[in-house]
Formats: sequence, structure tokens, C-alpha cells
Amino acid sequence: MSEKKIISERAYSMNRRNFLSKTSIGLGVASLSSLLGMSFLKAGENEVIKSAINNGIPHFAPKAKRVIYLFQSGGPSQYELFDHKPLLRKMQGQDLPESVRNGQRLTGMTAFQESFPLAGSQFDFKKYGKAGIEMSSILPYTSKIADDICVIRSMYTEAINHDPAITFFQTGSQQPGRPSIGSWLSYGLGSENENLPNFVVLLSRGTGRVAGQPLYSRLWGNGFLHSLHQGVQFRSGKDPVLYLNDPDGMSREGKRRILDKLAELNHQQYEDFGDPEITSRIAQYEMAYKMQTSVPDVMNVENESDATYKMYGPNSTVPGTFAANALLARRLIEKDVRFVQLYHMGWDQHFNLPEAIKKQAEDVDQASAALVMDLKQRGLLDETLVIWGGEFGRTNYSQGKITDNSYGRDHHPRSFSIWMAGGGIKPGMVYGETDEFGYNIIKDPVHVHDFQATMLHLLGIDHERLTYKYQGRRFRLTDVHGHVVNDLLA
Amino acid sequence: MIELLGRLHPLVLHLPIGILALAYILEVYARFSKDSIHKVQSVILLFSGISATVAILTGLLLIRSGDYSGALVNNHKWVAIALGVVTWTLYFLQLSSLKHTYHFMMVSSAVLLGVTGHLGGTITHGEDFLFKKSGPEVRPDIEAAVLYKDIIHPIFEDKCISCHNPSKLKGELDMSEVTALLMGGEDGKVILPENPLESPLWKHINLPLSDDEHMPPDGKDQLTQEDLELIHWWLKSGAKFDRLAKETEGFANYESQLEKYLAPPEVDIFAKVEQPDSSALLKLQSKGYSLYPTHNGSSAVYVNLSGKDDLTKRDIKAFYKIKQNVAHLNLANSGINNEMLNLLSKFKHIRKLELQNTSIGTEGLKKLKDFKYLEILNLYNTKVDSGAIDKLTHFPQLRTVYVGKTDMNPEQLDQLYHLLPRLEVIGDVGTDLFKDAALRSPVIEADSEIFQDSVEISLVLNFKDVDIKYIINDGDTVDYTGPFVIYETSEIKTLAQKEGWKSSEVNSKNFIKKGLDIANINLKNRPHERYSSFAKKVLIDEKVGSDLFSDGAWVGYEGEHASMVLELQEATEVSNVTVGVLEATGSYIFYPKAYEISISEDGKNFKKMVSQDYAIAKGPSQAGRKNMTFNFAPSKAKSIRLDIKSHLVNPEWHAAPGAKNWIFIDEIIIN
Repeated sequence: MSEKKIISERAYSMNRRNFLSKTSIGLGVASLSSLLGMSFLKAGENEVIKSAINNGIPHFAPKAKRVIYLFQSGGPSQYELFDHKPLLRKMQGQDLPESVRNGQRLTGMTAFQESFPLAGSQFDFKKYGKAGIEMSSILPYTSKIADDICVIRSMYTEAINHDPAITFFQTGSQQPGRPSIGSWLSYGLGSENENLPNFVVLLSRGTGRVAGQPLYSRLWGNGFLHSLHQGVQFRSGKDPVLYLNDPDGMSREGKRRILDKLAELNHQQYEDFGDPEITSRIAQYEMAYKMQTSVPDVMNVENESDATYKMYGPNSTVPGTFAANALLARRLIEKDVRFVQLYHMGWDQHFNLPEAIKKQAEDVDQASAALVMDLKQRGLLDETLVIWGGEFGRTNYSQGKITDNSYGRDHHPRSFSIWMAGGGIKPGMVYGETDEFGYNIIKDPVHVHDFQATMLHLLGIDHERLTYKYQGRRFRLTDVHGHVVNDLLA
Repeated sequence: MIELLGRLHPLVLHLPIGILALAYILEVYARFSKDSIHKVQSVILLFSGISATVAILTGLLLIRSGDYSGALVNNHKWVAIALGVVTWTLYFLQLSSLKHTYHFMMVSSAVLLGVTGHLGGTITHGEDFLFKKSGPEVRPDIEAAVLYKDIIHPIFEDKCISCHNPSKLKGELDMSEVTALLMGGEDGKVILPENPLESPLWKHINLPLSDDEHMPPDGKDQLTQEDLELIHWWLKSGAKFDRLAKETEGFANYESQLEKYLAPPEVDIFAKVEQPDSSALLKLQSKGYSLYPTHNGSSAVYVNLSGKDDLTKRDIKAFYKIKQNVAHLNLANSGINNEMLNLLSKFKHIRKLELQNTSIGTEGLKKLKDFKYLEILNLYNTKVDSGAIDKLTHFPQLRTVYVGKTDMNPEQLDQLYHLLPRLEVIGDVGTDLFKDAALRSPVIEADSEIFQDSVEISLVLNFKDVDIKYIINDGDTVDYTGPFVIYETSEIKTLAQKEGWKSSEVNSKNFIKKGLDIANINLKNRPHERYSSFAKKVLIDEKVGSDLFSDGAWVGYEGEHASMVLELQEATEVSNVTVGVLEATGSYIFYPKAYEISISEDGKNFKKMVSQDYAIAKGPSQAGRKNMTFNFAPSKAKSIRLDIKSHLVNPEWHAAPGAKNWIFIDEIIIN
């Protein structure tokens, strides 16, 4: 760090500190009492309310206060789930016309394939709900809640491989390093529960492809935002959050004293250097201390009723499954966690798709529908946005050889389907349309940045005004793109 | 002529009132003054009597004209007559010397005057003229308006009901309530539900103004063209009383006309409420409360007290400083109780109130103020019962109420729907949607599938109150109570049962008792180099390979058969051989095509004991392993030769047909 930079950083943080010490419970007057750590956090919260009053977030009346993002990692095939294309079955095995593909970039897995035999869905579609939304037979539960969800058939992205595509969805950029959506929201909207992190991540493995694509923790990273805003992964099993529990023999009072002393030292350090990451660190220690009791509480599903387990399905009794995570998501939302992100892996069916996708769908179908209905009956759906979808779609032609009952599909960025529910989304509708091959969008395309802008809009945030200055530039989740899709708003 | 005299009643009636009032004033004056009022009072009382009599007579004529009837008119008549009699009595008493009686009658006349005056006033101005409800009327917006209740009825109220009400009952018709309206008047029904446009009501309001039967009568406030159009629309659409305006056919044509009857959509009271004091917000925040303006520049504040199980009255009162601004109050999962609910009355602009998962009940709910702006009320998982239904009708803007997991039963909820058609009632979901729930199979856990002398087996299912049953080798069904031990090669089958659930599928697993010690394995051909490290050890290490071919426990052959000879320590009687194999078609791995087992006592002359063929898989499958056990007649052997034949290439249906495929082997056991 150059001297000049140190000086300017210092000047910057001095302003911040002045601000903090002016508030009645700011750092300046923080006593060395046991509440020391608390006051640091409170200072943080005051910034939130200050920001609400002065900086104007939310910019306008929000529809949603919270988000549950059921990320379907690997790229679920739209043709077997939401986008019914009878023509593909009629033309089964015939080559995809070049006029349709029109020079689309292909992955290394099919780029050298000699032919592109079209593959129709093995599963039948029916119309459901008042709007007659077409869904396939492997979604027996999602189809029952057709009146409560909005299916978007015209999503598109730019990335064709998993990691860039997921990173793009999560951070608005294909290159790693930007903050994830949950981090942006934590930064923009602040916390409503000082005992739990603002951004919680839950992972599950699909049965459709057990050894699927891995996920990296940077997908829920805070990027250049304060590390206070990073996603915290809750695991199934004994230790939901790693390294959270005290070593044997340490009392809670002892821990408290250590943290107080540590905060005092860190505070001195902050006085000298003014690095805001130091306050983040103090707050994180404090959060970890609180999570020692709040996390076991939220993870303890013992008192959930039998009716609840029936809704979410038998898998919900098995920790670490998607169904169990969906139930946990509801519990976290009830505790005002701002952003709960589930990742369900295993949607990457390059071969043996019909059998594998059936299992994948079985993993998530009932629990996803149950989550929406559970939130609805509890009166939480109106302010909770639920999103279900992956990073891209799949090709309408088979990767590898196609047979009567088996085929695979490669990655396809030009069109895919997701659904959303609650939180100000218009329920019971289909948005967007693809051509009869399902390959290209012919109506109402929704780009990843549009999706992000719309999501922020529902949370009362103007996506162009939620920014963070870093390396001399103001960054936003939607980069320099994105339009709110007004037709999706209730 | 008589009619004209009758109509003089409203003019004449004020004379006795004024004159009697003067008499009372003089009487009071006389008590404090020495002046004599005797003569003046006599004249005044005389005129009181005369004017009262005239008023009564004109009143009686008015009744005779038939315009007025009903209990109210009747009462007015008799009280007025009594007043007339009392007034004349007063006149004569004043001339006599019966002081006490005179004063008593004076007071009586004042009471009668008050009563009859009030009754008369009620007849002319309507029931609630005196005690009219004050405050702005809250009307539903276009989304929620019921055509009759919110649009047609107000027209009637304005133009018809001042005469056709239960007190006046002109033409014996009462239009103030739906049931009374349907009953009709003296000439029968006025609304014909089967054929609404033929209804007498519609005919009467469309007669020319000059016609005596025209309604409202000439001289009264007339229906406008717009009123007529809306009434026509209502009748034409079937004269329904509970249909939402926007769901009535032809809505689009009338939408613009409805505006004056309805509040603009999303009436925002907070546009008029002053901004909260930001220092008050900060102070509350610093006390640890969670609250913030719903958005930038809004005076509406969201207060979140959810999860606060030690909630006290003080916590609620803390927000009185910003009571005008509380738009959304979240008390979910908090310690709020019935007693504390009336404290919420101060938050009169509240739009959303969350009380779910608390101990409040009907009794407490009744204490809630009749919030004018309340749109959403969450009572999920509380103790409210059907007694609360009536209360819910007191919130004019209520849109959504959550009553799942309460003591209201489905029929009562149905009733709520009929009472408040525009209200969205959200009860329990899922009873029909998620009924087919099956249990998961118990997981069979043990240290190893291959055991030396015995192995302890646990059956695990992470769910409370389930019954786990199991069978060992087609024996009797046993209730699982805890881990058990087996001593022989066995197949364990298990399932779970629970009341109200479908039983789980059967889960089964084989446990194999370790066989004879194998001294050496002589591999006739090398396995693939990637899956051959320690092959000789791996095959007999008592650790079974998992479903994952690359876990290090498997020995794999690509595009070739496997052949090996197993050497025992010494010649022993053998009767079966078990071979573990893997299939994962996506990874080009198939179960073997054939197994040949030969034994030898000298290691040179082999005798074929087993030769079994198997067909290749017909379609793709997920990874899975199985144990193939081959029994044969017990014979002495020192060497056992295994020939495991591969299909060599992928089948036609495979994504890569004709490509070399694999066999994977792990764990060979000889007994």
C-alpha cells in the first residue's frame, strides 16, 4: 500500500469515525463494559437505519422483504420441465436446422459432434391452474401450485459453462470477484435479526447426478463489500457452522470476557489504522458468539409438526437433503434472515437425461411446492420472494447418441425456464415464449441482468442506485445493464 | 285541500315548541323574581294549547295522506297528542291554585315535548342524523368492491332509503337491508331475481317524472343518468348481492363510472401522515428495537417485534411516540397476549398486523380497535375461534386474513367467505395437496458388509415416533428396538411404519460372513492400470467398494475379460463363491456377461463348477453394486479359478455404442 493510499484511506475512515462517534452509542463513547461488542454492532445497525433515512434505501415501497433462492445448479433442462415442445418429439432424431442454431457457440463437449439430433421430452405435459401453465409429469407437486407461481420461459444468459454462468447469476459478472446477490442485499438493506447472519447458504446433492459439478464458496462471497456481508453456509449434521462451538471446558462467560478484551484491542487497532475491516471483524466475532445459541435453535426441527413433514415430503426428515433445507429456509425466513440461498446440485445431464432428471425433479418438486404453500399459509409469502432456477438451459438436441428412451443434453444459454413466487410477483402466469424448437426466444426475453434488476425492484431497490465504490469505480449488481420487467410485477 | 293542510304540519309544529319554551323560561324567571307572571303565563299557555292542537290536527291529516307510516310515526303521533292534552291541562291548572300539580305537569310537558320533537326529527332526517358516525368513510378500492354493497346500495341510500326504511316504510317497502328489499312492499316484490330487468323497481324509476308512480317522487332528489346506468348494469347481470364489481360481466364499460363510489386503489393514508421524527426512530433503534421507514421519504414505519417472547406493555408503549406512523406491526412469535391487544388501538393507521404463532384468542381480538386501514391480519396458529368472525367484519379495508391452524373449522371459514366476499381467507393448505406422504426406508448401518464372526446392525431413521420392522432371511417380522447382532451370512430387510403415513419401501442389505483365508491371488491378466493398484489386496481386504468406481476399492478391466486364480492356504472343502460387481452405465461400466468358476486340488487340473450367463442392461442406470453368489456341490479345493467375462463394448442404446466398456470387481469371498 502506498503511503498516499494509506493517508487517503485514513482520511476516509476518519469521516466515518466522526460520524460514528457522534451517534449516541457510537464507538467514541463505547464503554469497556460487557456490552462493548454489542455497541459496535448497534453502530452498524444505526448505519442501516441512517441509510434508510438519509440515503434512501429502500428507494421505493418494497413488495418483498426477504428472498429464498432455490438455485438448481447444473442447468435443469427446460424441455423436460416447463417448456413443452411437441415438435421435438415429432422430429425426434432429425438434425437441428442450422437456421435455428444460427451460429450459437457450443461447449467443448458437443462442438465436434457430427450431427445434432433433436430430442423430444420423454415426459408428457399437461396444463395446470387457471392460466393453464404447461408443466411435465415429473413435477406433480409444482404443477399443483400453478396458480401461485410465475413461470418465465424466456430467460437467457451469456455464459455456456457452469462456473461462469452461476457466477454471472449470483454476482452479475462472469468473472469471479464481485459480491453475491445476498451480500448486496445485506449491504443495502441491513439486518433485522442481530442473532443470525443476513445471508445463509444451504447445500444439497442431487440424486440425478451424485458426483455433479462442485460449488465454490466464493459464489456466496462478499467480493469487495465488507466481509460482514458474506454468506454463511449452514451444514447438516452436528456442526452446522464450522468452528463455531467453543472448545470443551470453556464457559460462555469466559468466552464473553475474551471477546470483550479482544474487541478492546481491535478497537485500539482501528483507532490507529482506521481499516473498516477491523470493525467488520469485531462484529463477526460478536455474531459468532450469538450464533452459538441462535444456530442450534434454528436448526432444531424437532418441534415441527407431522403435517409439516408430510408437506415437505419424507426426505425432509433427512438432514442435508433439499427438502430438509427447504424446511430450514422457512425457519430462517421466520427469523428475518434476509436472504436464504439453497443450491441443489446435479442437474447437469449430459447423458442418460430422462432417468436422471426424473430423480432430480423428485428431489426438489414436493419440497419446493411445499415451501411456497407453507409460506403462504403462514402469511409470509406476500413479503418473501421465492426463486427456482438454474444457471442456463439445455440443448434441444442430444449430446451423444439418441435412442428411444435415452439421450443427453448439452448446455444452452439462449433460452431456459425459471419460476418465481410471492414477494410481489404476479402469480399464475407464464412470461415469455420460445420458438417451436425451444431454441430461441421469440417473445419477452429476460436477461440475467433484467432478472436481477427485477428482483432488486421487488425489494424496493433501484438497481442503478445500489452501488459500491471500489477501485475508483461504482459497481452495481447489474453492472451497466438490466431493465426491470414490469410485466412480472403484481 | 286536506293534503295541503297536512303539509302545513312541518310549519305549524314549531309554534307550540317555541311558545312552550317561552312558558318554561317565564316559569324559571318567576322563581327568582318578585314580578308576577301570572297573567302573561295564562295567555302564553292558551296559545300553546291552540298551536299544539293545530299541529296535531295537521299531523293527523298528513298521516291520512298515506305518505307516512311505521312505528316511528305512530309513536310520534301519540306522544304529540299526549303533549296537547298536557298543555291544555296546564292552562287550566294555572288558573286554579294546585301549585304542585301544575309544576309537575310543567315538567311532564317539557319531557313530552322533547320526545315528540326528537321522534319527529328522526322521521324527517333519518335515524342517525343526531348521532351520525363521524370521520372519513373508508371505502374499498376497485379491486375489492362488491357491486351491490359498495355501489348500488349507496345509490339507494342516497336517493331511496330516506323514505323506504324500517321507520318510514313508504309503500311498506324497506330497502335498507337486502332481505327486506327482496321481500318487497305493499304491491309485492320489487326485485325479481329470475328476471331482474322486469323488476317493479326498475319500472318505477323509469316512469316519466309526471307519473304519480315515478320514483323518487317529484320534488325529491332524482336518480342521475349515471345512477340509472349502474342500476341497470346490476340488474342485467342478475341482481347478485355478493359479486365483486370487477368480476361482474361488463365491468370494463362501467369501470370509469365507479370511481366516485370507490376509494382510489391503494389509498395511502401515509401520504397525509407527517414524517416520523428521525431522532425518535434512532432512539427506539438504539434501545434494540427493529424498525425502519418502509421506504425512502415515506411516513409509514415497519415495526418488527417478532420473536420477542418477553414482550411487555412497555415495549408496545415505546412506539406511542410514532403511533401515527406505524403501518406494519409484526408481533409474530412474540409474547403478546389478549390483555395487551387493546394497547394497539393507538396505532390507528395500521395496515398490516401480524399476530401469528402467539397465544392470543378471540377474547383478545375483540379488544382490537376497528382499524380503518387494516388490510392484512395474520392469525395463523393462534387460539381464535368462530367467535372472531364477527369482529373481522369490523375492518372495512381488510383484504387478507390468515386463519390456518386456529380453532375455526372449515364450515366456519366458509361462512366467513359468504359474509365478506372480497376478503381473502387463507386457511391451512396442504391437507389435500400433500396427502400422499410415504415414509423413508430405514438405513441399515453396520461397520462392514463382510464380517469375521459377527456384526452389529443398526436400523436408522431420523424421524420421531416411527415403528421400524425388520426380517432376517425370510424369518419372522421383528420390531426394531435397538442394534442387533448377526452371526451368519444374512439378508436384512426393513421398513418403517407410522400412523397417518404410508409405509416406507423395503430396504435390504446383504451381510456376508468372511470366508476362507485366501493366501494369494494370481491375476492372469492385468486390470486397467488406473484401477489395479494393490489389486491383489483390494479384492480380499474385507472392504466393499462403494457406488463410486473411483473410490480405490475397485479393480477395473476395460474392454477385456478378467481371469484369476485364488489360492487357499490348504485344500479345503468349498461350496460357494461370492463376487461383488458394479454397474454405472453412464461411466461405461456394466455388470459382467458371464461367470465361470473352476476348482482344483493340485492347481493344474481344474474342474468347472459354475458357468452362468447374464444379459446386458437394457437401458441406462445409476451406479449400483451387487454381490453375485454362486453355490455348487461341496468339493475339496486348493485353487479356484475365476473367469469373469465382460460384454467388452457398449450396447447399441448407449450414448457411445460400441465403445469399450468396463467391468469392475471388488471383494471375492470363498466359503
